[in-house]
Amino acid sequence: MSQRIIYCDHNSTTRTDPRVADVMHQAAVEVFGNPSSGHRFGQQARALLDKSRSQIAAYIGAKPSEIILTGTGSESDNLAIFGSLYAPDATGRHLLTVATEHHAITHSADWAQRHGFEVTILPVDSRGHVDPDDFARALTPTTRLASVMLANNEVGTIHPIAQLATIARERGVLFHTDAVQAMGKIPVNVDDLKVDLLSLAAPQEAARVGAMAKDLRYRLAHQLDDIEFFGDPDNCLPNTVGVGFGGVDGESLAIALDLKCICVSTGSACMTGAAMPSHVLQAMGVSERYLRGSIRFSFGRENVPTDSAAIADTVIAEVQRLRKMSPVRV
Amino acid sequence: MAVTSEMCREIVGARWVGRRVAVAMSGGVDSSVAAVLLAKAGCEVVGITMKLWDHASVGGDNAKDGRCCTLESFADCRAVADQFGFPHYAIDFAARFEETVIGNFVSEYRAGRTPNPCAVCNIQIKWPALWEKASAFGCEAIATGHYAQVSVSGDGDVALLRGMDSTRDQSYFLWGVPHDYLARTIFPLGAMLKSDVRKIAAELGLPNAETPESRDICFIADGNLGRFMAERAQRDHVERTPGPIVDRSGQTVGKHDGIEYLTIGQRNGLGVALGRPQYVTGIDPDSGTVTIGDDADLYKRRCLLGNLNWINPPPTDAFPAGVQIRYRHEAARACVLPTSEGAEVEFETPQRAITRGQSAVIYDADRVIGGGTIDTITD
Repeated sequence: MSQRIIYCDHNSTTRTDPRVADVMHQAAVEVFGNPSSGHRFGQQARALLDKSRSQIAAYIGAKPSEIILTGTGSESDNLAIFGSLYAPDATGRHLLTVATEHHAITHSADWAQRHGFEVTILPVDSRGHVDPDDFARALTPTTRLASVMLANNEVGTIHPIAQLATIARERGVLFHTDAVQAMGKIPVNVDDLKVDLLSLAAPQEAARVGAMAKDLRYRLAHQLDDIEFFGDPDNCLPNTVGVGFGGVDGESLAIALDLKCICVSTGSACMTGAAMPSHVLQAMGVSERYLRGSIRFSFGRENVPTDSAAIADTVIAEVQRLRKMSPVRV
Repeated sequence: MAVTSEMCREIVGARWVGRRVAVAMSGGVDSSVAAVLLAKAGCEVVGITMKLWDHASVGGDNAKDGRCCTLESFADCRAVADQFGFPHYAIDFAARFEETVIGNFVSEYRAGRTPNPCAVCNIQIKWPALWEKASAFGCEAIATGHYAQVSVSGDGDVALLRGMDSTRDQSYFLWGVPHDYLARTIFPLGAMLKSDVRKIAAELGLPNAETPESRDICFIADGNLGRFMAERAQRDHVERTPGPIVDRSGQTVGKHDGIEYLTIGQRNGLGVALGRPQYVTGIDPDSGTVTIGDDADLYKRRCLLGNLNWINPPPTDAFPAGVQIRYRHEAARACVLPTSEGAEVEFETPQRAITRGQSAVIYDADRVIGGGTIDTITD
C-alpha cells in the first residue's frame, strides 16, 4: 500500500485548481490571438483578457484599468519598486522597506542602493512587526516609495497595512504592499488597505484550513518542550505555522519528514544546497537554537482535517528520535 | 552488460538489501552507478549531494571548469534520482569543508608540506559530517563511488581492501576513515573495473555515462595551484615569502616566490639552469630555504608518520608491510614500528620523493592496516 503524501507547503506553491487549468488550456489553444491585433482573433483574445482583468479587479476592489499583468509575484514586486523609482515624474530617491520582506523586494532594494538610491530597511520586533512610529520617522521629504508586505510568507505575520499606508499617504509617499502570500487566506481590498500599489499572484484558497493549523500548534505545544512558535499568533495567516525545534537540525527533520511522505519547508535550504539561514527569522531575533531547527508548515486546499494530527504525530516522533541521538553516533 | 537485480544484490551484499542507505552523489558516473546498483538491489536509496564549495570561495573560471559542486552536477544527480525513483537532497557542507579541508590544504602548503585534501575530506566530511545527517534521517549505511572494498566478517572484524581495478584503486585516500564508520560503509564499485562501470552507465542510460574523470583537487577546478594559493594569500593578507634556492652544498643558485608553490620532487618552474635536471629535494619552512638536487638526491629510506589511524589494531612490535607514500606510488616493502606518537617506517630500498604532508598508507597485501601523515623524513 502506498502511503498518502501529505503536502503541507502551500506557501511555496499550490496545485492549480483543475477549473483554472481548464480555462488556461482553453485560452492557450483556442483564444490564441494577440490581443493587440485588430482582427477577430485579436478581438476574441482582447475580450478574454478584459474579462480576466475585470475578475481580478473585482476580487481586490480595484478598477480593471488599474491591473497590470506580470508573469509572477516576484516580477510584480520588481515592477512596483523599479517602476516607482524610475518613473519619469519620480522626484524622490529614497526607498523605505522592511527587513522581513520577500527577496523580490529585499534584493531589489539592494540593487537600488548599489545604483545610487537611498534605502532604509526597517527592523522588526520578535513577532515580525514593524513599529508604525519607526515607519513614520523613517519617511523623509525625498521618500519615493514605502513597501511593506501584507503577510509574511515564512511566519505568517500580518502587518497593519491600512495604518502604515495612511501615514505614507499623509506624507505624500507612494505605498506598495506585497500581498502575494495573503491572497485567498485573508480579505484583500485595495480601498480598505489604502495602498497605491499591490502585488498579487494566483490566490491560494485556504479559508477552511485555519482549524488544522490551530490543531497542529496545539498538539506540538502540548507534546513537545523546547520549541518556539514564530510570528504573531494574534495576527497570523490562518494556514501558516512557523516553528523552531530546539536541539534539532531543521534540514535533517525536513528530510526525515519527506521520507515519511510529509512535505514541509525549512527556513534554510534551496535546490543547490546552499544553506542560508532565513533572513526573516534572523530579523526577528530568533535564537540560533530555534533558527537551526526551524520548519514551516503551510496548509492549503490539498489538506484534509485528519492531516494536522497525522503531521503532529510524525513530527513529534521524529523530533524525539533526533533529540535522543547524540550528534555523532555510529 | 545486463544489470539484473540479482547481480546488484550480490554486489551490494545481502545484509543491506531493504535498508535505507545514503549515497554520496557527486554527479559523476561512478557515484551515479553506485546509487543505481543499490536501488536495483532493493536498498532504500537516499541520494545526497554534498555542496562543498562554490566559486565565490575558491575562484577559478566558473563557466568552463569544475565537475562537482556545479549546477550541472546537481542537475545530473537529480536526473539519475528521478530516472530510478529515489529521493535526492543537496546538503550544504561548505562551511565545514572550508574550515577543515581547504583550511588544512592552505596551511599545509604554507608550511612547506604537500597535503592530501581527499584524505582529509574523507576523514572530516564524507564520513563524520555526512553520517551525522544521514543517520538523522534514518540511514543505516553510507555508500560512495570509491574504488575500494570493505569486508565485514562474522565476528564484526572490518577490513578495508584495495579496489579490484588496480588502475582506479582509491583505498589510499581512505586510511583515515574510522573503523566504526567502515562497518557501515558500502563501496558498490569496489569489485568492478572502471570500464564495466562505464558499460553499466551506458546500459542504464545514465545522463553522465560519458563524463570525463574528475580532477584530483575538486576545489581547484582549473588545476592552477599557483592561482589558488595566490588568491588565498591575498584574501588572508599573507605576504608571499620568497627565499633562496640552494644546491646540495648549500650554495645559493636562485630564488623562489614562496614555499607554498613548491612540492618535493618538482622539476619545472624553478627558474634554475644548472645544465642537468634539478628537483626540489628539501623545503625548510622556518628559513624559507628550498634545496634542489639530482634525481638521486630524492631517494630516502626512512620517515615518521603522525596523525595515525589504525583500521585494525597493529602489532606492538615492528612488522613488515607495504607502504604507499602517494596516490600514484606502488606500495614498497618496509618495516613499520608503531610508536606512541605514530609510526616509524623504514623502507627496504630508498623511495623517491617522500614528501611531508602526504599520506602514507600501510598495507598487508591488499588490506589497509592504517595510515598517517608523513611528518619527518630521514636518511
